[in-house]
Amino acid sequence: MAPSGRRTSTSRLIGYGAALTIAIGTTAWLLWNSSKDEDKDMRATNTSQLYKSKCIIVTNSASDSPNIKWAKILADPNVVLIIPPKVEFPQSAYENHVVDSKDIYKIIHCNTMAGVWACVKSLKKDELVLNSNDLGENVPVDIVRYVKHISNVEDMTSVLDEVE
Amino acid sequence: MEPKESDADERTLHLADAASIVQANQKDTQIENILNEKLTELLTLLKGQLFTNVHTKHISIISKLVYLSLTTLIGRKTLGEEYVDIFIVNKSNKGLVKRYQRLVFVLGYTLGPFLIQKLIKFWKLRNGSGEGDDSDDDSIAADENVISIETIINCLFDIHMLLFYFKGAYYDISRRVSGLRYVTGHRLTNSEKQLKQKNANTYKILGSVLLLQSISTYMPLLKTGSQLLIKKVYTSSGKTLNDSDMLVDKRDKSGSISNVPDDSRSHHFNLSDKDCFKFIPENSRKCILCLSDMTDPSCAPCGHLYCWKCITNWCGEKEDCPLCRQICRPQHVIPLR
Amino acid sequence: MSRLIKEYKTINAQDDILLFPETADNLNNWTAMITGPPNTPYEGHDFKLYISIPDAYPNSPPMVKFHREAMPHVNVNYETGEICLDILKGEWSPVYNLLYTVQSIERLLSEPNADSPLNLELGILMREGDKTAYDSLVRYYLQRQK
Repeated sequence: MAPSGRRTSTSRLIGYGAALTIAIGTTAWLLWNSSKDEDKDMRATNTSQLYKSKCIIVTNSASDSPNIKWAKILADPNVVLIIPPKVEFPQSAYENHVVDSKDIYKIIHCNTMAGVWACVKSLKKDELVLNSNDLGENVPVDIVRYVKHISNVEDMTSVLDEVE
Repeated sequence: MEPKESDADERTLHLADAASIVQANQKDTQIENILNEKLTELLTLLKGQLFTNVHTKHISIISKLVYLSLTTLIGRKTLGEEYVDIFIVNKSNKGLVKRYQRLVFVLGYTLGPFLIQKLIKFWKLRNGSGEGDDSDDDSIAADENVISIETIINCLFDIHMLLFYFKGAYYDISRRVSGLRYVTGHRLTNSEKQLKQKNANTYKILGSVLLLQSISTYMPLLKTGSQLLIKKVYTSSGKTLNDSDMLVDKRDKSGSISNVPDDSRSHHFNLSDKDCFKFIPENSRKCILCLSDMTDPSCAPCGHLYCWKCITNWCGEKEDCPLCRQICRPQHVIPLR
Repeated sequence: MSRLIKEYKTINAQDDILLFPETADNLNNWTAMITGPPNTPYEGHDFKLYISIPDAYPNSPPMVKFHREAMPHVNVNYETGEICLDILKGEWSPVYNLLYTVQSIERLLSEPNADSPLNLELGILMREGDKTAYDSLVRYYLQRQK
């Protein structure tokens, strides 16, 4: 306990101490964060070039749709199509040379759902486009660590139009 | 620094003994830890596990800072001091400490070790990059210097600890620098005085043990340090390095086998000589390890032949036959004679 | 070191494999070219190997790497090109030489080992037995680099 003679100035001292603590605390805080700010700036510029690359899990509703111009979508160098098991990617796309043969490597066929998610994780594209209703499966929780954005869409036609 | 018994009884309070100071410190550390834990919990909630894991050190500094700012800095006792009933006075036990002294103590106690660590790291980094393009010897010397700086700091801490055990005055370096001493907050009864005297003696015994320990740790260091110094003096005074090197070599080799004949003087069996070991057929006279004609052909326990040097070198790496992977200890390799 | 010179001479005699020191006067760094084995997704592609020889060679294995971000393979770290192969680590024997090492890596392309993955996703695909996805993904990575 402080000696009785100092009691009058105790409240002043408390105020002084508190102010000092806060000041030191904030400076320290700012110092640590200063190094991180640079990282944040980097991230900000990255997101401004919004979702440059896309990974699209094609499901039946999309693959059946006559409106989607696969050739145009695949011409984009930053797009990958993943075809899950039991989905038929329109044969017509291959047959009539609608899809340029040099783009066919961007279509990845999978025999298992685990394979689909492993491909998504490996590719690490900015945006993952899928229709989880159509897929009949939920997106694994850890996928968010491998893509910047997940677009879970009901109607893939509308989204895929933007890709062009 | 012993409590002044004669005139102290009436007006001045007794200087606190080592035991109480240690006890107060333990209590304070305990409370700082609790505070640290709570702060970490809070930050984990707010910023996530990763943040708290990365900033463990910073969080502990902040919690110490908060604790001491709310107690010592504004002139109050910490819980530990309250617990053993001691409080802070100035160096000469003539009055309370000034505010700036308390501030110096709080900052030194919380940020001091952290800053010293950063400084050493910075120094190392700067030196590491600076000496990078110099010759190897220089960078080795720089390494030795860094090691010795760390040991010097450790040595200082140990000396400080020793002083505390013998004198019982300052528990931390920051307290010594800012001149914060402790007195007991009440008059001592005679039995209490006796007990404290006994305690002080125990601490002195502990101190002696510590002294012995530090001597045993720092003596060899001192020795190598002086040797290095001698070496430096030798090189700078123009004498050839070989002299001092031989000095060091002689020391190092004490206890090892001497009088081993020089390699060039001993007799070698070389299979490039066709008359040597005629029973070894033409197509197996080369060692598969060095791809040359075998020198001193030696037999592994499994029967495979290699040069003595090749197979013993490999056995130092891994104790199996390179060809069939059967166990082949170096002591089981037999040179052909 | 004399052993490396001997190896260099024997390799020179064989023309069918591309394995050569980066400069003729320094045998500590070598380069090798391997071709993708037929009937694998690597078919039709060539891969460069960087080999550096430790001082203790042949008692220590050579250090071999692919070019970074060039080899999608279960036992290769895609980002660094680091290779996980037993004979490059604990199973090394001084009887092996550089040529054998390079041939072993070439063999690794057609016989990936799912037990020691350095490429986690490809490892999952292998364990799941999804060969279609494995091959398509490898082809995607190889084609993308062109």
